[in-house]
This record gives sequence, C-alpha cells and structure tokens, in this order.
Amino acid sequence: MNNNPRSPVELRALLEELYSIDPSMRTHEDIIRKILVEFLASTPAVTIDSTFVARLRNELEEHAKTLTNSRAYTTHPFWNFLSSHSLSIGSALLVMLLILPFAYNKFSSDRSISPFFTPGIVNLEKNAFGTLTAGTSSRGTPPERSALDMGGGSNMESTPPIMQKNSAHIMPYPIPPDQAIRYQFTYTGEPITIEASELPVYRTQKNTNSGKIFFDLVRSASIGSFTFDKLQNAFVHNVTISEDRPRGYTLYLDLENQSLTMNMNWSSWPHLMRLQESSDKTPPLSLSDSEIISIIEVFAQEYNIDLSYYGTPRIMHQEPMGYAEEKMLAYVPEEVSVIYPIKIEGQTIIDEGGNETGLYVNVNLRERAVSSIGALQAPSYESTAYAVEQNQETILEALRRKQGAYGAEDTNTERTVVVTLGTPSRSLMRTWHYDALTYTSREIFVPVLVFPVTEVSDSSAYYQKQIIIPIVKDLLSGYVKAPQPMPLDAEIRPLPATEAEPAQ
Amino acid sequence: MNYDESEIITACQQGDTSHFSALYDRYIEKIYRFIYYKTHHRETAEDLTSMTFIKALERIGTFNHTKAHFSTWLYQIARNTVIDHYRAHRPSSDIEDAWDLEDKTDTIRDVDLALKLEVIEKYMKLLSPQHRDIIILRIWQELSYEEIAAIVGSTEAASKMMFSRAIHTLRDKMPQGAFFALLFFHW
Repeated sequence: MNNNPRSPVELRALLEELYSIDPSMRTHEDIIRKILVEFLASTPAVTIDSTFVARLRNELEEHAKTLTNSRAYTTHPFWNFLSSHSLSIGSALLVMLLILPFAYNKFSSDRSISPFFTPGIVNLEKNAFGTLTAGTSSRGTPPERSALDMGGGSNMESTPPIMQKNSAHIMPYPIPPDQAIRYQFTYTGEPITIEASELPVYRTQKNTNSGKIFFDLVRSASIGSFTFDKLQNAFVHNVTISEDRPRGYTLYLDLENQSLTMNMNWSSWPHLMRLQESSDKTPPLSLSDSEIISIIEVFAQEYNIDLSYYGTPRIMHQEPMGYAEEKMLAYVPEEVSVIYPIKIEGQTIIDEGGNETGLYVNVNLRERAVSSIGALQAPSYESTAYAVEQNQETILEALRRKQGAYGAEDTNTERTVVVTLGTPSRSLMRTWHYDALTYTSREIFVPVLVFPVTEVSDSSAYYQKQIIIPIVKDLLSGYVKAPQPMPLDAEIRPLPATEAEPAQ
Repeated sequence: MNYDESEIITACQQGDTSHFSALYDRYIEKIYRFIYYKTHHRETAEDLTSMTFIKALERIGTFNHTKAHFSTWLYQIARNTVIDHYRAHRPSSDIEDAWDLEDKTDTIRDVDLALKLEVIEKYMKLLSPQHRDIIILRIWQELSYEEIAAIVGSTEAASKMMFSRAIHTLRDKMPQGAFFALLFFHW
C-alpha cells in the first residue's frame, strides 16, 4: 500500500529532534514513532505537469515585459508595502506601536521606527527635572525631607521598623525593650573619587502621542447616543488585549508610559484553574536554569520581544518549604521568577533595596511556559545633568546618618554592632520624584554609590548586603537632613557623631 | 542565499526581469508541491501556483534579500494565496486549506490522493492550520526549522516548539484503537 521510500534514518532523525525539543517525549516513543511512520509513509507522491510548467514560464516572461521600471521597482519598499497591504495605515501603525518599541535593539537605526516613539536618550538642559527632593513642587525650594519619602518610593528611615531580607537599608529589628543595638559603620575602602562634577539623572519619557493615535482609531465610534468625537484633544491611557485561543495571553499596554505587561489569560489555561495537586502526590517541580531561560527565549521570539536590551538574567529560585518534613503541608513553588536587569547607557539599575531591577518574567513550572512578563519598557529616556558630591567626608557623613540605634532609653544593656563597608561601586538607582504641584510621581534613575558590607561583628542582628548613598547634591542634602529611624517603642534621639575610620 | 540568486533579484528590482525565470525554475516544483499538499487537487494547485509566481514577480521590488531568503518569501506568498483562495470561497468559515473542509461531497480532490490520505486526514484535522503547515513543511517537504520559521512567520525555536506540540496533540487525541489499526494496516 505504501511504497514511500522514506528511510529509517529520517525517522530516527525526527525522533531525536523531538527529544531535543522536549525530552519527556522519549517516554512515549512507541506512540510517537507510529505517528511519524504514518506521516512519512503517507507523503503524497506529487508529479507536476511539464506542460503546465512551460506554459506558466511563458506567461511570466510575457508579464515581466509589461512591468515598467518606474511602477514596480523604483518606489521605496515602504510605500509598496503600504499600498499593497490590506491593513489600513492606522492599523499598521497600531501594530508598529505595539511591537517596535520593545523590539528595538541597542538604538540601532536600521529598524522601522514609529515616528511617535523615540527610542534613545533625549538630553535636556541642566536640572531639567527641578528639585529632586520631595515635599515641594519641582520648582520649589529645597525641602526638609528626603526624596525617598513620598510618591511610591520609601524612605526606610522614616517608616516603621519591619523585617526585610536583602534590603540595603537598615531595617529595624523589632527589638524587645530590654535590648538595644547601636550600629556603627566603619569604612575601610579606597578613597572615594568622583571625577565628574555633574552626572546625568534619567527618567522615562512620557507622551500622549501614541494615545492620540489609538483614540483616532475609535474616534468615529459611538455608544448609544454618546459619540467619541465629542471628546477634545483626547488620548487613550491604556489598552487591555486578550488572545482568544488556548494558552493565550492578556496584554496590558500603558501608552503614556510606554510599557507593556503580559499575563496568562487564565481562563484559556485549563490546568491552572484546578487546585494545586496535593504535595504528597506531586514531587517538587523543577527545571534547570537553561530550561527556564529557554522557555523565556522561545516566548520572547514568538512575540518578537528583544531581550538583548536587558542585562544577564538572574533566576530567583525558591526552594520547597517543609517538603521533607511534612509533604501535605509543604509549599511547593509552582513558578520561578527571572529578572532581566535594565541598563541605561551600560549602567545596571538597582532598586532602593540594592537589588537589580528590570524586566520580571515568571515561568510556570508545571506548564513549562511563561506566566507573566513585565513591565516591558520602551527604552526612551530623558537625561539631565545634576551636580554631584565629590567630597568624601560629606559622603561618609551621609553614611553615618544611616547607622541608627534601636532600643528603649532605659535599657540596661546596649551593644554595638560594627558594620564594615568596602569600596563603593557606582550604579543607577530607581526612585520616584514627587511633584507637589501636580500631585504626581515620576520614576527617575539617579547615580548612587553602593557600599558593600564586607564584615559584621554580630551577623545575627544584621543582614543587609549593601548601603546605598545617592551622590546628587540635591538628593544628598535632603538625605543628610532625614529624620532618624524611629524604633517601635522609643523616642527619637540624636546620634552622637562618630569618627569614620581612615581609609586604608 | 546563493550569490547568483541575489544577483537575479537585484537585477529584477532594478528593472531587468529577464532572469526571473531562473528563480521560477528553481522553485516551481517545491511551491507546487506545497500548494498541492494543502489543496489536494491538481488544477487548483496549478492555478494557485500561477498566482503565487505572478505575485512574486510583481512584488519583487518589495523583497529585502538581506532580511530573508527568497524561497521563504515565496512560500509565504504561496501560503497566503491558498488561505485567500479558501476564504474567498467560504468567507464565513475559518478555512485555510483543504484539510479544514468537512463535507467531502463538496470537496474537489484528486481521488488517488484522497485514498492515500484517508487514514491521516482525520488527524490532520485535529491540528491548527499553523501546526499542519509545520508538519507538512518538516515531514513532507523536509525543510529546516529556520526555513519553516520564516514561512510561518515565527522563529526557529518557536517552530521547533510548535512541531513538538503538534505531535503532542496527535498523541493525546489519537484514540488507542486507531494506533492498532495503523499498525495492522501498515505492517
């Protein structure tokens, strides 16, 4: 019946291909082999009619003669695409606006770029963002509080003590009233040298142009008697789009801030609607680092997301908790998070806790698929120069102000924990700039020094890995005047000044 | 891309289409075969193949040979031409090729092909059009994943994943009885 000459070597090659893509298929080799054998055997034998081939060849040669140079071959490919494509220009721009900012690679100029996004960095005049400290308008006088205090950021020094791991700030330990700890910073690093008197501060560009384009697509629509064209100078803030297909995704597009987040469209992932299987039946899920990254890269390629803009990914593994002790009560992570650090002009961005920040991708271990990704941000920034502190003593004074001491005044015991800090590195920290006039906050990226903690005299009472000091004078002056950390049950008292250890 | 192919394309784009037939000679059988796998009817395949090459000739000025291979561009045109054909005839249905057609009496198909594909046809219908194309291009036309990716508008890694998923789907949805029937039928 089947006289197809396809060889066993081809079958073996196809099987090995499938196993390299998904090793779990090896356990189903019998069935898969049968499927492939059937398809190989069923390859239709196709014979093309030589008369047809010759006739079509002649037709094409005749047709070619009728095509003129000016019409078919000298117009720019871009206009040919627009004129021949069935999409309206508005829809084409819609696609471009959705895809291109996030597919933009290293500010290369060889990609088609929407005129309404400007990937890259726009340099503004000095101090274009106004006063960076919070509590006033951006055009006001220097405030009395740190910029890390309002509008989404967190001034750890003025918030109630809470326990946080991996924070660069001293997070007050909820200390019993009969115990007090005084932290003393000791700097043993190299002399702190900042050669430039000014450094750039960045913020993401915002504009309403893309929102206006989106609005134009619906301008002629109406809901009952309400018509959208009655709105004046309108723009769309954000758009939610869902894929209507199995294992689809939902997109949340912030047009004003040029960011995009994608999540699994949960209703189209049936397995996720079930409760997690009991832990005693399901062993902890795990994928290797390379498998996790591969899943993300396949996803990125499917949706044309360019990850080369980001730094080296860091996988945040979570170990199953209590699995060995009591499987029924154990927490078995279903997902793993991966951070792709943001970089601006080669500098990695950190958060106020000193951790790399950027694009967060979650991978569902059971589905072996990306469950969420965000926020993809168009690499569009504004840059403005601010004066930075170059005096080492001033910087070390700011460090001393962060030392802190906790405990009741009438404590009978007080112990000092010495925290040794090493030579700092430079980085950009993501924080928020609050404008009191407009009651809005905008994300900014400021140059900072990151002091690594190299030694702690009592590690049981201290877990921070680094201390962050902003070096923009505008921020540092407000930082120095920041209120002292407030313990849970003690009154504020000023710290005695201590001498910084001389640099070695 | 072959050096001579690049030269031919450049010449066509500059107005000298006399060598377009060289491209035609190189790809006519592959494109015809691909279209035939999707239409199951010789005359339909010939018509759509003609349309494909005419479109390619008319639009060669839009082709950027630094971005893709000419063959994959040609396959894309062929694929879209087939889709347009079926949707033009049945605009209310989501049909992309002959595999999507349900009513055999309304289907113009070559008899010998219908017999040959009788067994696997029901399983091809279980797949999405894109997965079917990947099966056809990989198993029947023996194209690389790189070529397949360009044709279906995806990436090499994604194409591999889709091929794997297509086989998964067939494995999950093929009833066990059918496997034994296949085994008995062929061996």
